[in-house]
Amino acid sequence: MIHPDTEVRRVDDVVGVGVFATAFIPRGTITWALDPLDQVFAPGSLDGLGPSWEAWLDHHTYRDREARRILCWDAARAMNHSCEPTCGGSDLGFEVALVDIAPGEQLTNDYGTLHLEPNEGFVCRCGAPGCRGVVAPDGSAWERGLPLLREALTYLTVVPQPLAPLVAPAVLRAGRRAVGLPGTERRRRPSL
Amino acid sequence: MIHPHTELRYVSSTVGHGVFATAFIPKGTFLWVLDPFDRILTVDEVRDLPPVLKQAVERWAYVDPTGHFVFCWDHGRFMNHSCRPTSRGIGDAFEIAVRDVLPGEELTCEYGILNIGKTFDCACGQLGCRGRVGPGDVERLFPSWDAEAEDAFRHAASVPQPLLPFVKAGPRDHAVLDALARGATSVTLPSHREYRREGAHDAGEGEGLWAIAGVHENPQRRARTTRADRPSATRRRASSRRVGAAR
Repeated sequence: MIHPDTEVRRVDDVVGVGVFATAFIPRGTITWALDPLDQVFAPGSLDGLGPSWEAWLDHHTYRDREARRILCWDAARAMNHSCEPTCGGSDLGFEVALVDIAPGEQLTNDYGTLHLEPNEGFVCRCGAPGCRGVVAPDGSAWERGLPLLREALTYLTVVPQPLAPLVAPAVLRAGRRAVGLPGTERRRRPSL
Repeated sequence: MIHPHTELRYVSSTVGHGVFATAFIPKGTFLWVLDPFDRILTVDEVRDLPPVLKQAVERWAYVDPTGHFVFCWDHGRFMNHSCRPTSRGIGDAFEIAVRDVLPGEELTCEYGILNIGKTFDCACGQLGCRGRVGPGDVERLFPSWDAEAEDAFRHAASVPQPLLPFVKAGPRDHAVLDALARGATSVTLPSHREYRREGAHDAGEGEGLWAIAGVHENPQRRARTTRADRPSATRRRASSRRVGAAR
């Protein structure tokens, strides 16, 4: 489920729609969580659908690291790519704001981290200063985004988390470990 | 799946969002079909959802004749009710345009067949608006609804049908697909009456879809909600009364 302080807006005829913040979303906020209404399809399980669905699958689903197809039930599937994304971490089962997101700013992902197939590359027009020009299958995308993601995850416990009920504590801990942080925030013993 | 020449637009704070045509769609076109990605959820599955997702299902799903919640994956779930809708249901898997739909026009359907859990005040503003739309309306009105669907189906084989490759047809829908493949213009279609869930009744405020889907395990809650539905009870805004049932 996408963060409640967002809405879908039309961008233009090429990009279509995108997801925009309707309120300030501080860095470290969980902006999306994989939830039970999202549909997860094992590799190969959609092969029988037929060719008419190819374009549809490409447009509405993404692949996780186990090559499963994920169809989000809500506006999350309208999130666009940016080479300097505002959100990241989809492989963790949730995403966080990598930067402070201002009202009216778009929530974006680096599609390089979404396990593109060789034929799924595209010419990027995100306009970010660090735009790569072409977004292609990219084995190094995860490592490249890691420092920002790690930094963002240190703010998990200090910002409001409206999506917290949708993320199991074990998933959060695993997420923190995956980026090289301790599973839980170490509590400092009060010095007497 | 909703017709590709449509988009989601915000209507008002009362109505919320609605589905609007972005191009001319001729009479006889399927405006919505059930597809493999529409979720069919059992009562137990919905009950086990986290509260925020349960609310989403209650708001945007409808109940089929077998008591399952149908939660459309796309913006088809935002289709609003109208007493003079742009489409009528055929069987389990089709909504067919009963008149030409113009660009910018809102696509609407009839909530009276969607096993809504309670009567609501209609805000469609159409000539002939029933004012109150309830689960029992279908028993009274199905002959005219069926006639409209049959009239529209005469055009189905001669207009573009972009949604046909995506249908998930149930047992009652194969006859419709066969007729279409033969180019038949006149065929006996499943009646709207058959879509009504056995024992569907006006469950009263608050109970909604749950009663229709067949959950009565909490008699106390039922008693409370029945009292709340007395005529003297304060009427909530139309938006909060539109329990899901959007296609």
